[in-house]
Amino acid sequence: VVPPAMNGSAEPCPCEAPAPARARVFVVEDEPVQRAALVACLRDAGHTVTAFADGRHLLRRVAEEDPELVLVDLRLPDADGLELVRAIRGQGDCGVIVVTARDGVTDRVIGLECGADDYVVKPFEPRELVTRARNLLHRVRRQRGRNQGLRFAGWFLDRRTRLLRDPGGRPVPLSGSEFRLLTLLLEHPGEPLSRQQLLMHLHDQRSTASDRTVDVLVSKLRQKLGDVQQAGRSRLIATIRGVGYAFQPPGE
Amino acid sequence: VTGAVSGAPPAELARLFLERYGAAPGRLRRARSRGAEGMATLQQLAHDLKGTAPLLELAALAAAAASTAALLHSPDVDPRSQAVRAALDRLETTLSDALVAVRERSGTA
Repeated sequence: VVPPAMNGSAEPCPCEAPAPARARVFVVEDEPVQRAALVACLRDAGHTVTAFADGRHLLRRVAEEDPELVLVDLRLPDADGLELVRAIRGQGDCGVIVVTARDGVTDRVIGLECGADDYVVKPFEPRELVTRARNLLHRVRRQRGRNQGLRFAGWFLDRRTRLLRDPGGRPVPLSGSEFRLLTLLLEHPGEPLSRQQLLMHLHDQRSTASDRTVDVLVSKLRQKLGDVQQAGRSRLIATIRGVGYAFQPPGE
Repeated sequence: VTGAVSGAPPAELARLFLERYGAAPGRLRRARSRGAEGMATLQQLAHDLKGTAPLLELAALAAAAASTAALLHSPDVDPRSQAVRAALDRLETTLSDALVAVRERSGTA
């Protein structure tokens, strides 16, 4: 788990950095043994993995859920893998790793030219795959940080304009503190952050505000996000008993 | 049952392997009998096994699948050639042996 960057400084070099905080990763692979193995090694590395056996379902979910990383097998029953890579690339800025038995130089070049960020030849070595995924996730997050937009559950937080937009595209005004708190939570999905950490981020360690300040801000954010407690569904901003709060991406 | 993949339950991989490839030797023979028409099936099988066999530490099958996949992927491949027939013979034998080994490992022999 990566400790939260409390001062907003640049991210560390990927070669020195620990694994990024849990990422949403999609895998499309029609071969069931390989699919299970891919899912297992990525979950073992701490990521949230959704697996698909065909390209059609994958594409629909990419559009809906905006994963950070997609692993694509090129030989699929319903789609040309290279076309699939192009389509994923056209939908967003997630990382794409091709995992395929095609090992010719021409295949690799074409795969990369179609927009894949990396190319892994089967049989894959799980440790190598996880390391490549980790490095790519660092790059994807850095790029998304530059793009200054954070998407979650259909919402979009524009860091440049400090504007939150609901799933219908309507602007939802945020105070400065609400904006900073939401940004920090979104930057560390699934990672419990203490009230003290949140407070330090909010007030740059100079404030005399209390832990209660964080609770009030979270309450206001939940109201604006319509983030109410419902049976069978966890909140977007979850209370972590004895610690503080964590942003919980939908579906986790 | 052993497993090469960190985090993957070996028994689950074995179960999936048997489910997917239990009838594959017969499929392979039928595809061979169709000559050039069966090439796509043979290519797919060889490619799939190339990626799958190492995950279950089936070294002989992995080697046979990798060499067969490379051979069948070449543009001027002749399905009646001696090289292709020998490769498919080896793939069929190692696949049958692998199925026996996985069944024994998983206690379903």
